[in-house]
Amino acid sequence: MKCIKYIVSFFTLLLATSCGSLLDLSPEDYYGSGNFWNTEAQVKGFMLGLHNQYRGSYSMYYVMGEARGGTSRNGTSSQNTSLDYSSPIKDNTFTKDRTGISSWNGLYSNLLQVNLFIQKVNEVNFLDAATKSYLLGQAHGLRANYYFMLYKTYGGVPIVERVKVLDGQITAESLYQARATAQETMDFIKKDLKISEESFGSNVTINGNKSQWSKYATLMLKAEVYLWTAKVSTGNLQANPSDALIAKDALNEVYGKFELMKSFTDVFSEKGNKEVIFALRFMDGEATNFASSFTYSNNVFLGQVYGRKGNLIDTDTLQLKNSGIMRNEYKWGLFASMDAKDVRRDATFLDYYDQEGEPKGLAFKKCIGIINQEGNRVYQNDVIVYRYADVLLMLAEIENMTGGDVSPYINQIRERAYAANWDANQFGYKNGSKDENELAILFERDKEFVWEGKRWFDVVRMKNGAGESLVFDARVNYDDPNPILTKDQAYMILWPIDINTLNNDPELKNNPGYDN
Amino acid sequence: MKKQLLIFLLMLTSLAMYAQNKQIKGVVYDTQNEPIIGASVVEDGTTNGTVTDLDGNFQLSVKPNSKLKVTYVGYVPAIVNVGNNMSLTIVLKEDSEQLEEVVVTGYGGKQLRTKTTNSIAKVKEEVFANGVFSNPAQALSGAVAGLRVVQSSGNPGAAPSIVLRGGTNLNGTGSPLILVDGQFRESLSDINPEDIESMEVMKDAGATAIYGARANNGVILITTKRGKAGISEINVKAKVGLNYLTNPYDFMDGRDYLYWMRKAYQNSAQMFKKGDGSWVGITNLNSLDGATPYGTGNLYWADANKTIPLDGNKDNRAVWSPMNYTPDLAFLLNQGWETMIDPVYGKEIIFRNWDMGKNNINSPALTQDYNISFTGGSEKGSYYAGLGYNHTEGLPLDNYYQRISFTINADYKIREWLTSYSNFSFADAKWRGLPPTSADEANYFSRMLSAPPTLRGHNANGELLLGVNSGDGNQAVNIKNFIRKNNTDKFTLGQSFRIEFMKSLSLKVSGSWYYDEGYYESFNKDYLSSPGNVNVSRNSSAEFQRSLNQTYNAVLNYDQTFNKNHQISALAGIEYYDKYISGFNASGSGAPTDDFGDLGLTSKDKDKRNIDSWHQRERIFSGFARVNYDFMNKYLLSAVVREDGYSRLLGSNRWGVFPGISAGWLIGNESFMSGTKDIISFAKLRTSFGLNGNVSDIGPYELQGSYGTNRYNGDIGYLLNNIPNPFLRWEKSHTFEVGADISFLENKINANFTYYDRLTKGKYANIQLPASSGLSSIRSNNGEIQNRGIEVELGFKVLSTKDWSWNINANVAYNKNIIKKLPKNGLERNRQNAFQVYNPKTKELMWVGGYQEGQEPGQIYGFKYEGVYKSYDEIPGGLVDKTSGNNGSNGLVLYGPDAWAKLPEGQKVKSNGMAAALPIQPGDAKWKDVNGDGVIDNYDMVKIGNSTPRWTGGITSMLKWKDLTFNARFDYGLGFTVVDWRTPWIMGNMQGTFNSLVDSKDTWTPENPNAKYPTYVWADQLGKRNYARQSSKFMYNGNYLAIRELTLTYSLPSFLLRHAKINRLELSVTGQNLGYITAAKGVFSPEKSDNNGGYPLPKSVIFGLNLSF
Repeated sequence: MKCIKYIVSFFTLLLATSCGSLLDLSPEDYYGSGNFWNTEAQVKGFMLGLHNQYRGSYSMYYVMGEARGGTSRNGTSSQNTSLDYSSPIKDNTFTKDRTGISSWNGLYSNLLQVNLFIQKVNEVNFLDAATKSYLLGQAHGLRANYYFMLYKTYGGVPIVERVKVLDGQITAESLYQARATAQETMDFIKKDLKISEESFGSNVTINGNKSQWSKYATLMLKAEVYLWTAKVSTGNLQANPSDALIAKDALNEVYGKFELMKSFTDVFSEKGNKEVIFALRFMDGEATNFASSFTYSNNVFLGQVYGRKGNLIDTDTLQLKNSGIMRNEYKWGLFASMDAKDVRRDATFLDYYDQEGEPKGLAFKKCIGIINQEGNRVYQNDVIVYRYADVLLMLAEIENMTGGDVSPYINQIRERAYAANWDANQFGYKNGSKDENELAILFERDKEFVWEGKRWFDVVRMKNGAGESLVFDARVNYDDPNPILTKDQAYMILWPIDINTLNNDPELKNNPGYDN
Repeated sequence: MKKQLLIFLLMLTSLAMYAQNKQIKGVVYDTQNEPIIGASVVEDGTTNGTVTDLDGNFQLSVKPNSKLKVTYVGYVPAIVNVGNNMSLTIVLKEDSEQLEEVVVTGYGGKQLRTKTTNSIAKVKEEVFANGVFSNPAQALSGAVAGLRVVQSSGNPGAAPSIVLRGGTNLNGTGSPLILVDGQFRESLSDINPEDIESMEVMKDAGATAIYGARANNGVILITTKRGKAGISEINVKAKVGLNYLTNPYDFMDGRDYLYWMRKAYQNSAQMFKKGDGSWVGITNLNSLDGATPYGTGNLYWADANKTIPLDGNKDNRAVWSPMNYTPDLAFLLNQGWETMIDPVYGKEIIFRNWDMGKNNINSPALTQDYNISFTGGSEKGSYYAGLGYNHTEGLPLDNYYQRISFTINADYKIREWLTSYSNFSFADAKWRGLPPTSADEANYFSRMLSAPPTLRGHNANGELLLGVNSGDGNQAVNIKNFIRKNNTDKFTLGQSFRIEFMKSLSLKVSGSWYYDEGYYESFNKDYLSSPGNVNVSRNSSAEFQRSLNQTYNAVLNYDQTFNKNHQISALAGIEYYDKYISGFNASGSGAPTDDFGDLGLTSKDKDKRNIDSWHQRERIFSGFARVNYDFMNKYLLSAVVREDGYSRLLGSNRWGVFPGISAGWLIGNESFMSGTKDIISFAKLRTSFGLNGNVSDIGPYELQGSYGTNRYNGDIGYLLNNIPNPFLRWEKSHTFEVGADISFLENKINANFTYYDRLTKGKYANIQLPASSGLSSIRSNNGEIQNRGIEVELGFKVLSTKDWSWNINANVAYNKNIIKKLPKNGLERNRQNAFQVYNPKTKELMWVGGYQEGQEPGQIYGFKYEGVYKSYDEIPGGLVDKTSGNNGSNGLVLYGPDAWAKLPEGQKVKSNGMAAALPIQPGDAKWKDVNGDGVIDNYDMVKIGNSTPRWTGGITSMLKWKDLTFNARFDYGLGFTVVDWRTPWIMGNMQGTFNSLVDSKDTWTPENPNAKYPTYVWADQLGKRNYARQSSKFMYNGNYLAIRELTLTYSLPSFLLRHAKINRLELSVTGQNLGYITAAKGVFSPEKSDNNGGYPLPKSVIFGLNLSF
């Protein structure tokens, strides 16, 4: 019996000593939530993480900012493949059930991380003041950027500036949040812009070879935002033309700080070049983009289409190495609108024809990356968010609002575009009426910014001589006699909110026009 | 002096005994007075013995006053005193199996079946005897009432899913805890069924509470074979099987494909006419002239002189065979090419038929399974050693599983009070999955095999052609270029000591290591990715992972009978479990040569190599106790309790206490029942209640949250990957059950009935969060699910005569799950993922499907298919179809004839000339308009059924005639619906170039107005969605009866074997997985409700040999 006593006391001891500590285990390969936000390296790493996530959302520029803007084909492609985002996005047939994108296109996940960063960086005390305010400048800039994307798409949206999911035990009800009005949302964006600008102060450093948000990015965003509110009425917020002057001031801070690259193609092949203000960095082995889906797959292309001179295309002209497929295609009219001497035309598209020489379709080639050392095609072009050409063309747009001469701005762009072919008399733009100028600026942007996610926002923002958005102007739609939206479809400028998002938050209401 | 005297006396006696050995005769009968042949007659305590002959007679020379032990399979062993008898008549009683059976109850506990108060089902080794099982779980289909085993993959080594009593997860999943000799295992994979002595399935919480926090989905206890005193045997088993494909898809040949595909294009391009008389559709006819699988633009010659043939592995235009027939191609007709008339343009087309299956299916595939085991034992010690080899080929190319296993279990009584139990087992498994370019099982069998049958097959040099690309093409072309090595080694090392302090009190201390390591290598040599494109990435990777599971426990046992009437059996113990996983992998690409996969050769350029390592630990600390009390052999009581502390949970949520209690009443032993003894030979009532936990869904560190790493611009970045969730607790399952075990007519009929009710509270359920929170959902303990059901097991001894015996066992289980509670979300019934349809009665919208409180999960809704419109007269003129369709449908609106006529042309035709809307025409499907508003929309779906069978079970039969035995095993699932997603994808031509089923010949055409199916069109999802929607046409009643195993065994008579000193020699032939009797014919497996194609279970024929000596 003594034996038992010993055994029992041994186990009792074992239980008592080991229970607590033996069961406290923490991850060995990564930070748990208990050991983060302790060092400057972590904070700076998180800023890189925010950019990584931003890059992960890059397709929003095409999907939300370009696809429905009248330059993209819908239905089936010239290669008989079915095209992505055809309906309701590219053909503008939104209904409450067909929303194209859902869950705010996922942008609140990005905002959660940005909000967490702002919250934590304000709390920690190990950062020196300069580092801290620079990082906050970046973070508020990023946040304003996301909210502006949401604003342009949905109008007023729920304004979330705190990570409530980390505040103790969660219930769904405590997280329900109604949409702010357009006015409130815009006020919030402008407030963030102001904080960002002030936090950066005079620090205009751009980190990561222009792959990180900087004061110039904030200024560009500010210009975009104020130009938008100068021209576009949304919800309860009426356009205020005087905002254009604020936009102009912001642009003037950037003006002359960057310059146009000599060669149009170099803008996209050289990372962080002098024209780039801010770009999402893509790299072989790290991240590639979806430009492949604008090209061709050999089996429906080679030997089946003809070149400009009637020659059968039977070799892999773009050296895609079978990495491509056509899931998105630009309209032929966009190509046709470009002058043969404008180098942008052949830098942007590979045009092909049928046996009779009739136009057939366009493969995209502006940003199709490189052949890497293994001999594979890698779609590693940066997605350029802001570049200097945009500064010039925004300035032109502001100039047109105030009745000035837009031609110097447009012609800087054209001079670079025509390169050796440039002849100011033949190709130069001469200032015209407001209506002519606005169209000229739009068409210049069309040629310049293909795939850069601007077209839809451009046609919404820009106005014809009658002061109407170009969305309703048939002249700006390619290959289609109709405007992008008819007047009675005006509600469709704002996107519908998908049913799941509405169901998951009873306080949300859909945009007008999508009630049933 | 005394000692010497004693020795002398002993010598005398033994001499005397020797001298007085006598010869006795005897005969052995069964209770029907039929002689028993081959019964073993042994002088008890010696090896002196014999067997009975054809008439049941035996002769043996024995010591006087010795005892004879007479045994025969299926009968209760008899021990007979020889006494002064010279001739004996011994009657063996049939073993009333169920009643003498012992069940294992965990932690070394054993209990007579008659005394259990719980639902513990025993799966005996006979279940594994006939078929070949690369995974022992495959043998469990239908074996245990309430245990649903779904074998939805024929991949050798695939682990079937096992769900007990409906599962505790909201979606009806949840796997039992698996313990092999007390050691936790993730699955039943890589266990040799031959090493299994018994498998117990513990169902009710009164029993499983001893396993506490991990046992709410039941426990499977596996006990491996050990040696037994007095038996010494060598057993050799060999099984060789042939496995045949059972393909549900009957694809068209090249000729029919061309005819129907070209018609399909025409049907899709010419859907209606514009005002100017030109055709409008959803495509045009251009590709019919192109270099496509169905187009005539393919080329044979590379040059204008027509001397050099094009190579289809280099040029896309020479992949497919169809071409307009020209005389220069006539020579091809001698090479197997054919011609036909184009149904669209009327020209002659030359083409070649190609059968992708012939090149990509290895049927029959060969299975080999060999085992040899040695077992022996004495009073002191015993041992079992088994060596096994299984090699099973799969149906796809180079797909196989191979297992080599070795087990040795040895027990030895070192001292009177100390016994040692050692076990060692080793299993080496190697396998290769499907070809890497078509690794998805569903794709392999229903997509790749549906590739166009107009592939040229070979180029002019006789080399195999790939086809469109490596994924959808002929896998045989590249298979040799993919090096894949998967190898796991699993070791179990266990040592226990049992210390007997006194007869009633003992302590068992055990330690067990289960070490599992895996090494995986993959290397791609240069391969053809599509015609003319060779992938030269030369990706190479290697991964190693090891996991060590350590279990230590100490269990104190106490067994005592007081006053004859009070019998107590108790145990108490503690246990410590630690699992540590560590591993690393590395990969690279761009080696200068494809001859070697050596990672050292891969390119050293930036970002060309990846490496990673990982670690993960979890621990459980537990204390437990059990008491079984038996009063007067009539009243039984059992109580168990366990406390668990689990490292996955945090803070005070970590600890949980799980009690269980059960009681039984052997009512048959009561005196008032004695009158009915002839009818009711045994009766017991039992009930139990208990609490279990579950935490299996939670990752080891998940609740702590994590900051994950990523890269941007070449640097390391961080993001909050998972938010911390420290509030999560155990799920707690409360199970109540009541049951009766009753035997009739001298145990000729054994039956047991159980009703259970399991309510899982604190169920992990996702709270759907508003999207603006940045998270889509978060896990909480706010769910509640109830499983309720009835289980019945029946055993019949139908026949039992000298030559004949026939036993039938059957079980049936009914289960229904109801979701009782979900996280509050402000919606009616706190529904999640529900959708709206019209209520067929009120015509109002109602929320259905998804998860809803008070409802059964897994409801299936679909559009009710009411046949094909044969003529315009049948189509309601104003009908409008606004459904959105599936498979990437563009949801064009469809209009009935009158509505169509009213529609302005601008709304019918897009600016690009394609259809913007479509007319409903003869040949289109008729859908039920539930609310009768003349509009078919997404709300017009009706309830078709439910995804989980309500009824499951199995039937086995053993019929024996002399030396022949016929075994049959069936299992079934009833009361559910199978949704076939794959057939409509194929028949709707949704890929756009692929082959269709022969069934498509019975699609509507003007010539075949009574067809079974709607018009065959190209890309139905872009058109009228006759196939591309959830349609009742492709939802089947899933009721099935699986013909799992039929075996004929011939046992060579023992009188033949005796001289060769062979105990037993059996030859058998088995048909395994012979098919299903079911209405769900279009699917690869009716066992799977959500069915998008897959790897069908092969039909197997197995030849077996079983030899013991």
